[in-house]
Amino acid sequence: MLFSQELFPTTESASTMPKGVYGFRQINEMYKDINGRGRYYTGFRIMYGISKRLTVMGMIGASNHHLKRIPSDFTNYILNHHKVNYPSFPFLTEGIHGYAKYRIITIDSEQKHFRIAVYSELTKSFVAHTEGESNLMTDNSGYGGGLIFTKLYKRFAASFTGGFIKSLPYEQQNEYNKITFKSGDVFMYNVSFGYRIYPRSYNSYKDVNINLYTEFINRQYSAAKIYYDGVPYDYSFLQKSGALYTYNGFVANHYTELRTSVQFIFNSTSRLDIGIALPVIGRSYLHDYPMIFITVQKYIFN
Amino acid sequence: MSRFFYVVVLLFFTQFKANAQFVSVEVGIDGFTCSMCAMSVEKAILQLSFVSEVKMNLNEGTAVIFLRENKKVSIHEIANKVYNSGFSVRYIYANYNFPEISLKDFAIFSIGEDEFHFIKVEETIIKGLATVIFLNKRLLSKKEYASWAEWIKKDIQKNGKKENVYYVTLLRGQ
Repeated sequence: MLFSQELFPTTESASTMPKGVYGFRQINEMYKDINGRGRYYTGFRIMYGISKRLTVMGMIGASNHHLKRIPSDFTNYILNHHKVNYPSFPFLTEGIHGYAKYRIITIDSEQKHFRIAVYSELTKSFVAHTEGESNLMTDNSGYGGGLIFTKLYKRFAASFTGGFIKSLPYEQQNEYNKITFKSGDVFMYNVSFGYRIYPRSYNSYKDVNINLYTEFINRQYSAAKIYYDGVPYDYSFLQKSGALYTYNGFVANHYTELRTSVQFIFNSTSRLDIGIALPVIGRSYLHDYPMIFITVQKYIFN
Repeated sequence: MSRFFYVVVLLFFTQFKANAQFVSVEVGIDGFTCSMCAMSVEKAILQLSFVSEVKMNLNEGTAVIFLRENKKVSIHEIANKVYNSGFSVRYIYANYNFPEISLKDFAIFSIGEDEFHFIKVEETIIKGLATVIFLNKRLLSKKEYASWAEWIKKDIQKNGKKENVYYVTLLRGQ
């Protein structure tokens, strides 16, 4: 659940939701792509505390990041779809995402705790994800899992998430051929820090909380594999064909992204996160920078 | 006659109040520092039918629980609400309105189906309001429980292992 200075906007903490409590979260991400066109992602998530240790979440995501299907002229598509004269992508339902988190270690004491949780996630995507990097939010089909370690000490929280994503291939049968696009598998190790700057001490539940977060998203992934009628498709020509951006998005990569944000909690039930994502070492090719994210969330206590 | 009747009624209620079980309960909660967390615990405890009000100290992580009269109070259910909210019990104190009882180590005092087994108390007589600390597993922190485990074993050796037993001691200074 989720716990003031460990209510990280991007990563999950090792804490779980209270039993029987529902939560709703709406996630919005926006950036301008390399051609200056606005790209938007929105996700709506329902969260529920099944038991004191087990939290489950279900999410549906929509964006203008993908096409429903890869155009039948695949080579033309990968050569040109990042160019300014290529038609804008429509706003589509991306996919659905399921997530379960189980708290396995709890060491609580006064105003502090250390917790470890294990998580797994699964995504079914309805769009054609054509990037090397897998993302289960909700770009491509796949599954993943990992461990979360979270330490809370008074007004400060730190968390580490180590996990993987195994992507499932996108397969498309065209009239005369079949395209298979398999994004790379991901290993990630994210580090998050949170600090409550206001209030220093509480007077009531109505006190607005202001928390600051700094999160480092570290990801390493393998190259995309593309098959044309089952035969490996060599996309190295993109490097010398004026489609370097696309090529860089296909090959193996590792990067560190900084996500810094401010969070407001109202009436101890509702939260608003406003943040920005910036590249630190390398970059992600799933989005451009700076990327703004705004998240709203509400808990429904029985 | 009618005067006598009112006196009897008044005496009945006075006696009833003196026999009221718990007056209030205080719970120390470990593992949180935020108001959202405190609210989740408060809302959960308020679901208990024997609870009328909860006053949460957001800064210290303590909750004072006021109880409805004529309702059976379960300290274990209060603890379960804390754990199910994702936190841990640091301590549970209860203010109890006792009739006159003689206390010594391993003395037993029954309340309905529940038994209070007093541990590590000086020989004394108590009457009226007193505060007890619960020593059962999950009713105080693991570390504190470990320091009482030997005493609980001694009580089991003396009084036998029973269901519905609260192991308690008096809060110091009483």
